[in-house]
Amino acid sequence: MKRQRSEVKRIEKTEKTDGNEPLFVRSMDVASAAVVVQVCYLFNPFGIASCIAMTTSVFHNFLIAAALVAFQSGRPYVSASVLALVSMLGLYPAVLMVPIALHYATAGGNSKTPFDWTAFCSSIAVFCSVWAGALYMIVTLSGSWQFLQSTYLFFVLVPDLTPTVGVFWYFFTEVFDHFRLFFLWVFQLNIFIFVIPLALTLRRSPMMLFHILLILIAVFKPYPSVGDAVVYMALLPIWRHLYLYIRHSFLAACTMAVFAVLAPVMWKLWIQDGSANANFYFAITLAYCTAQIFLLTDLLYAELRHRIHMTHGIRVIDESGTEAKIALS
Amino acid sequence: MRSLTRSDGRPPKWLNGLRRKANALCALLYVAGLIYLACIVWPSFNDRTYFSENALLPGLVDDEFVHRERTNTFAKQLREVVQTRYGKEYGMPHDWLLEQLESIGLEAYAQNFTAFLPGISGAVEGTNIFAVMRAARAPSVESIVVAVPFRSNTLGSIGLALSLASFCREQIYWSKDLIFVFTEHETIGMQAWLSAYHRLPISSLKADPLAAHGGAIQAALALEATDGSTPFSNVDIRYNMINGQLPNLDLVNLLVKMTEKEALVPTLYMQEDPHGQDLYTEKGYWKLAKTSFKGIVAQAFSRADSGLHSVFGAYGVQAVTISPYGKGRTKSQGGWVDIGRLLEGGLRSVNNLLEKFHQSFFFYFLPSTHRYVSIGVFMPAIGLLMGPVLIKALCVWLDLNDEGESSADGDAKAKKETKSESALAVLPLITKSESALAVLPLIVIAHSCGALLYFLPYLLFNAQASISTNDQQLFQAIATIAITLPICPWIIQRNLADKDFGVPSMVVLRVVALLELALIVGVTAVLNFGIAVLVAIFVAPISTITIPFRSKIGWALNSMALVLLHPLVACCVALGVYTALTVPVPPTPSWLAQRAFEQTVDVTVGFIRDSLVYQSHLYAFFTLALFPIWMMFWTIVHHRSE
Repeated sequence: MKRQRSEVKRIEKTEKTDGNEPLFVRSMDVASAAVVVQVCYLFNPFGIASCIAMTTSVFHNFLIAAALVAFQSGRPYVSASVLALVSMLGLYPAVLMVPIALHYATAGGNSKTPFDWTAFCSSIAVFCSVWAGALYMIVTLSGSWQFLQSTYLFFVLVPDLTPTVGVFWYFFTEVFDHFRLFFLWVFQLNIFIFVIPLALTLRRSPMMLFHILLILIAVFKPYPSVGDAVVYMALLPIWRHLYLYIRHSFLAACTMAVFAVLAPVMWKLWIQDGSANANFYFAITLAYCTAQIFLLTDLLYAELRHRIHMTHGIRVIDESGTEAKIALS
Repeated sequence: MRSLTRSDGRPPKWLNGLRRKANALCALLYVAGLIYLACIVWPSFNDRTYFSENALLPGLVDDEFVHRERTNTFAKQLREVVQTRYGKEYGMPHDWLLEQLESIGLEAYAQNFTAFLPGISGAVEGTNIFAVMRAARAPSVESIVVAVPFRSNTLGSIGLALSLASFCREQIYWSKDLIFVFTEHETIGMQAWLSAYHRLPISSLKADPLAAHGGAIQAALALEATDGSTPFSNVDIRYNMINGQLPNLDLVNLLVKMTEKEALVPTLYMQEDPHGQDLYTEKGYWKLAKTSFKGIVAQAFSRADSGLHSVFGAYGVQAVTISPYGKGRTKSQGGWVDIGRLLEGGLRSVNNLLEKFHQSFFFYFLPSTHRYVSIGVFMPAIGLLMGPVLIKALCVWLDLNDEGESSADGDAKAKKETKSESALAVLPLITKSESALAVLPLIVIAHSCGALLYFLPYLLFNAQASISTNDQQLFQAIATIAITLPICPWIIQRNLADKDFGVPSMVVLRVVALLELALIVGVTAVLNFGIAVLVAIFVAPISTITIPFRSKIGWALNSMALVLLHPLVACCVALGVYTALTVPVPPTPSWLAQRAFEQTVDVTVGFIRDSLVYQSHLYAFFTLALFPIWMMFWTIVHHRSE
């Protein structure tokens, strides 16, 4: 929110305010966002389902939200520490350190402020040291390094192929053993490789980067669940000023609703009745992942488009005086 | 996602064409759906049945069952025992059956069960008798079930099952256990046996644990010949299970082939196939269409009354019922021995299986015993019938958010001052989010009404308490609630100021109702195609034209159409039409109305009982899924705007 307000000030200086109201963050939206986000989190059917199933994703979501709060209220080392705890539990939220470190490297300025490498490295250092400290504590408490087999190596090597809402299990049931390591590398790299271009594009919008990385983690984790989707869905109302440019909201929402109803049906048909097979269930899970990717690309597109309009105004007039069409190349 | 938007964020060009021609397109798709359904029954558009599972080797062995005398003796002795002990009441002689099974050499056991059903005073008690024949060649990891219900007219079938058991006991080639089950109270007993076998308790059915098990059940064959005089001429093959489940097509094909091998005529729903040369003629087409229609209706409203096989579906077991009937012409074929050879052939084929049935189709319907329509062929019908609903939802959504959208070329039109400019030609945004959220209470209330209707029978009639109730009281309670609930939207709308419920919120409610309808019908199409297609045919056109009309006539017509679609009213009307068509003498309207009403009571209470004992989801479908959508449409039609 602080960053958006600073951008608002920048536009006002350029005196292009006529008709640009929809671009700005309204103060009433900022005030109501807290309540709306809370309601979206509490009444999300996926969240309620996770609670009924008594999963530990509740704790993951709590720690991610805590890291986010510390991040936004200007406590870099607190958020790095909390994020280290989440990463210790789940490994993949470690990528969320990138937006946090970027934020404190470019603290609150515009594109002219120099990149503060000290702040960047120190927040990552705090993150790594807290993670290392937690690991050391576990080693001393359990007496050996055996726990690695059941935790991090479990995520990385994907030995268990119980069907989930992710994309790993179906593929790895049919991959040949001598290619398994190769595909493991490819699939695991998926999460980490996308962080680099996203971070370069969104280095001045770390909140948006954080949100997009949450979606990325929820899609490409080896063992995802619908509980992972609850946090980013709850955070969607904060981008009220970007709603103008979201293109696939109807499609993504309908796909999510269809997934919520059809996935248990396909599961029952496959496992209990023996009528359907794995393809039915995987198809609807794939549709769910596609809906999440639609959401991700929509957010990215909206953010980039918003930037252009913030510098050129809501109607972009080019040199010849006609209205320019803005295309994503 | 280039195809979904243009690169500058504007909607794709085909979307604008769609919106212009929406109504015509919806009508076209609906009619195309109906024509499609009529076409897929024609033999050129479907395939001949075939065997997918090679291990079945159907009909390859020579059948050896020749025990005519043994069968007749068993049947005669059973009749005598029942007559002397129970007279006209046809009680089940449990100890005699146990004795006979033990003398054959099988392990015989009894299982007691008690069922508590609303609408029936007191509990239904019974005892199943079952016998396990252990496989000689394998450990008891798999089994095949032969089930016969005990009824006054199935005594001959029980005699056949006993002599078949004695025959099977003498063979050495069985690799799966054979379990012979004789149930009391038909499918209730079968459900009790199955729930005890799989250790999945059912709340309204108290079944004692079984003394012996036989491994995973690979297939079940139920025999249910009414004691018409042999020789039989036809064998009715029944395959519809509860909740619209169907057994693997291989099992049905196997029994068709076995029937033909014994020179009997296999029928589906008592309809014979068209003869060979009639297949591609008009006469043949009507036969195929009639069988298909009966199949769809049977799958839609699948109760447990078609045979013992109907309850096996919930446990993942493929099961079919054989029902020999008809008057055979010659004495030498069509007797009990031939039915026994039919069963023996079927059992020996299933005995060969290495894996459980998985090769052939599970989602199909059969126009005749030798033709099948698979899911890939019939599912587009649902797509075509529900297409109008989805297109309407999309167009209404786009219109709702269209306030800033200019026409495709971008020429300026007169706009109101609060609307955004033409440069914001991007896809939807709700400008009035306040009115959009205002429909949430209506949606919640509609679904709560459905939930109330669903839980009402269980609240009123506690399964364990022996409150003596009858069908009438139960139905009255449900009907009262179902008919008075639609008053709710009126009350709500009168109490809230109209400015909160402006037209946009009704439009949003319409989008939600249409999408929910499409979702429900689509999901049901996978689970139970019969009910989905019947609902789609009747509900799709009405729902697309349900709007808050301004004119009185439009409002009246819309209201009447919706009243006809109310689940209870639709049930009554459908049963009335069915009765009028099937009764030989043209009935008087008052008699017809009374009959239709009585049948509606029977059907509703039957659905509730089925949901308790057999876990049938029909009642839940009508109350939890369809009724809330109907309430939402009712709210839309009766919205009073100023």
